[in-house]
Formats: sequence, structure tokens, C-alpha cells
Amino acid sequence: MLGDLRKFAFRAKLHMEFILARHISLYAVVAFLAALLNAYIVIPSILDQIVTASMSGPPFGPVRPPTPFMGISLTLAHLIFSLVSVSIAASMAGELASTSLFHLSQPLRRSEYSVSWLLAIVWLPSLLMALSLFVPISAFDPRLVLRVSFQPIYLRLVEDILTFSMFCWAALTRRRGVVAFIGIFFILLLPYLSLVILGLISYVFLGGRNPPSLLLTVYEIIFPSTTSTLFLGSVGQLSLDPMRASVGTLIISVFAQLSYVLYFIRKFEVK
Amino acid sequence: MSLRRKRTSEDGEIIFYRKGHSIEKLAVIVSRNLRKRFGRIQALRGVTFSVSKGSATALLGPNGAGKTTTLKILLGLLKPDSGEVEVFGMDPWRKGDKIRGIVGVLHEKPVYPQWASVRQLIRYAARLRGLGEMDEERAIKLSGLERYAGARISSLSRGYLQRLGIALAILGDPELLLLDEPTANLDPAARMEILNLISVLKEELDVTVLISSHIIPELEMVCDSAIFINEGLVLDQGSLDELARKHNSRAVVVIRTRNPRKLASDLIGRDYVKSVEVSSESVKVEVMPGELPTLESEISRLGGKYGIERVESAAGRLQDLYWKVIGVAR
Repeated sequence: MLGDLRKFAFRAKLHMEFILARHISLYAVVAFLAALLNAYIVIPSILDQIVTASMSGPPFGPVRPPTPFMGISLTLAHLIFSLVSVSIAASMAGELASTSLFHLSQPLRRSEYSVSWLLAIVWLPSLLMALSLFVPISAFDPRLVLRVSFQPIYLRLVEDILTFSMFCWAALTRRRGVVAFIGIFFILLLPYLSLVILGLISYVFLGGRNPPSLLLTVYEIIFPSTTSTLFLGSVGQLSLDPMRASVGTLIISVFAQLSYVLYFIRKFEVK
Repeated sequence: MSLRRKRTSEDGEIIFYRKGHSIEKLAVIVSRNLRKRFGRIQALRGVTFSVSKGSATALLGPNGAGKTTTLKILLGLLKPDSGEVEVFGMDPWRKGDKIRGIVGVLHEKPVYPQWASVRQLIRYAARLRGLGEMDEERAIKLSGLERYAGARISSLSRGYLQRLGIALAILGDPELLLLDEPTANLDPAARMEILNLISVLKEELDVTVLISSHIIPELEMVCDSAIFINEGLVLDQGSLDELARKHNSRAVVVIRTRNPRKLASDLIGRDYVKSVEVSSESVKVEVMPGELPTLESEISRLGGKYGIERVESAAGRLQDLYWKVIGVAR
């Protein structure tokens, strides 16, 4: 059992290294630049917060909510690593249409193959995004990490993990164009388009009253970070606290990832 | 010594198979009533065949007959709709990784990652098999890729891509080779090298080989049995001798000798010899259907007497069989 698990990890890692080998230096440069950008935006903002706080109370008092600069930094990191995730998913679609015949003719299980792509599409960009936020701050002064509010970062990561999981499914179409379209749609359009639709529903059918709480709850579960950003200051209007909604987001993410792996194991054929 | 599987085939023959055993008739591949549909196209309509251990079997049939689909099912790349298939006693769809660890494969139209170098790709495949640098080097050398080991795959000609496929297929001494058009895109010299390599692997390492190809004379050089497939059905299968006897197929042998005239006059009187042609250094003999083994034993007996240097199977027997089996079906 343990031997099997070790073999699984070894082969999945080997395949992941191989698929990332081509672009790994590019991803490293992107992560480094994102970290620099975050450092440039966030560190002065935290220092400013400390100075302001020291004038009105103890210098290392309780953790404060993030400044608007942290929000900008999160949004930038989200955009950058979403593009990384989409580009890796597009590579997977390309591989499934061509070189998967070579890969799956090797002693590589379909589970190992699909999990290595899942790690590359979902977990690598998420990890890089978290690191690009925390590493520059802790490199400057580890104590500053405690000044950052973790909630928005956590919500952003949870929302992105769900979005990136959808890219794995999109890659199964074996078409790069479809992956690119779904990527742009999920990152740039869907969070805001859904809100517009909710607004239209409430305006047209409900005479301007709040949309049904079920629809709002679904929206909050799918986009916990976007919701908390857009409804900042009016969280009371939400039907669910974003942190509680994020539990639903995590459950859907786990389901999306498991079903993708199971589909691959049971149904995927190399044509 | 217990055998893992024991089955009775449709014609009542008992087939035993288990890796490493050499008793009875060992079948490394057993396929029964295999069916596969792609949308409206029924690619396989009940394919039944077996491949015995140590044999070199030709998988013959026209385009669209179901050869590539069959090979992909054997590797666990496609899931059959119904029927049974076992390779080394394992179900390819469930235990595909184990099968692919001991099976070397060359696909008809392989596509490799263009950005990688030859060595990178072979190293990756070797590491997945748990092999080391020695095995990589051996595969590179045997397939004649030493000069191009550092080259990018995108820079390789079609012939060298084929060699790369061969190198990947022979990594780590596989027990079974599945080759789909192995000599396609190769120049005549490279073709001979590949065919010799297949013969060496078969003879010296006891590798079982299943080759799908359209170049029948080449198959005849390396294969001792054949499976004829057309429109998703196996029309016939067996050793070349059995098939020749069954289909009254002609067998022609060229005997290189120092005394062609004397040998010819000796052979012409035999009742199993159909015709004899004499040239300055050889005798071309056509035997009655199914009588090739008789001629072969006679040649080995007469070898010293007439200074027989070499015996070659003249191309034509498999071709003849192909037309008899596939041609009738069409």
C-alpha cells in the first residue's frame, strides 16, 4: 500500500516535472515579478498602517482589516496566476489532443496522469499566489506578516481553487481555444455578469427588492472573495457570512477535482 | 508449478498463459469477442485471437480493418465496449500501467513533445520504468540515435522520429513488442536494420512481437504467424505453415548452393515439389501447399551433399495468403 503510494507520488511528480519543464523558468519569473509588485504595494501600506496605529494606540495592537492596497495586490496576484493556470490548462488540452498517446503508452496510470495535471493547473498557481503575497513581506520583516489580515487572502485562494478546478474540466475538451474562452469567461466575466443578472432578476421580477436569498447564497458560495470585496461595508445584506460560504466553496472544489480524476480514470480514452 | 489461468478456446484447444512459464502453449495475448464502437462506426465486431509467447505475429488487414484499435485496447488506451482481453493475464484497462511496464510499443503516427530533446524524452520514459542511464544509452545506441541524442525532437526527420519510437519501444527489454508500421518512413538500409533488430530481440531475448504493417514482404522476414483482420473481424489466424496448408497457399524458397543443377535434378523428382527454377548460384523451389516443413527437413539433410550455403524464403507466401484470406472476404 505504502509502496503503491510512493510509486504514485514518484510517477505523478515525474510527469508534472516533464510537463512544466518547458515553461518552468517563465512561471518562476512571473512569480518573482508578482512578489516584487506585491512587496512594492503591500509593505508601504502595512508600514503606513503601523505608523497610523502608533499615533492612536499601541504599535503592535490587534490585527486590522486589510488596506485598499492589499486588495489591489490580491486582485493583481489573482489575475496573474489565473493566467498561469489557464496557460497550463491550455497545455493540457494540447497534450490530450496530441502527445497523450506517448505519455499514456508509458507505465503511467490515468490517475497519476490526471493528478499531475490537477496539481499543475490548480495547486501550483494557488501556491505561487500565496507565496508571492507572503514571501516578500516576511523577507522584509517576518513580524509584518501578522499585520496582514488572512481572511481576504484565504477567500481569494478558495475562490481561485474552484475556478482553476473548472479549467481542468475545460482541458478535457482537448481544445486550447475552449480553455482560453472558459478561462477569460470565468476570470473576467462570470463573477460580474452573474451579479448583473442577479440585479436584473431583482429589478424585473421583484420590483427592486433583494434577489431571492437562494440565488444570492449560490453566488456567495461560488465567489466568496468577489462577494466580500463587492459588498465590503454592507456585509449585512448578504445571506451568508463569506467565511461560512467558503466552506461550501471548498466542498464544491473537492467535488469538482475528485469527479475530474474519477472521470479520467474511468472514461478517458486516448484516440 | 500452478498456472494462473486455464481456458478452453472455441475450438477446444486448451490455452495456458502465465509470464515466465514455457510449458504447454503459452499465450501472452488473449482476446475474445472484442467489440468497440466510435460513434456510428463499429471498429471491432467481435475480435478473437491469441498470440503465443515467443512468436512474431503479423497483424494484417487493409486500412480501417481495426488493427490500430486492437493495439490500443491491448495497451489499455481504449476501453472495449464488450468482450474480454488479457495481456500477460491482466486486463489492460484496469492494469494498463503494469502491462505498459513490460510492453514496448511503437504507434503508427506517434506525436512526441516537440520542445524536448531525444535524450530528455528517453530519460523520462526510462525513469517511469525505473530504469537508469545505462538502459537509456543502450536504447539510443540500438536504435542508431547516438548522433541525435541532444537534438530537439522538432528537428528530427520522419525516419529519425521512427527510430526514436523504436528506442522508446525497446527500453528496458520488454517482454512483448507491439509495433504499428515499424518501418514506415525509413530508408531501405534503416528498414533492414530495424527488421534485424526485431529478429535479434525475438531470437535472443525471446521477445513476443505483434507487428501491424502493410509491407508484407518485410513481415514475412520476421513473422512466423499471422492474424488476418478485416472490417473489425478476425478472418483467420495461425502459424504461417498452418495457414499455408489451410489456404493452399504457395511456398517458394530460394536455395543458394555451389551445385544448383545437381540439387535441382534431385529435388524435381519429389512429389511435394511443384516447380524448380535454376540459376547460376541458386535454385528456386515452389512446393505444394503445406509441404514447406518437408522441404526444410530435406534441405537440412542435403546441405552437405550439395554445398548449400543459405536458404531464403522468397517473398510471396504471406502476400499470397493475404489475398486468399482478405481478398475472398472483400
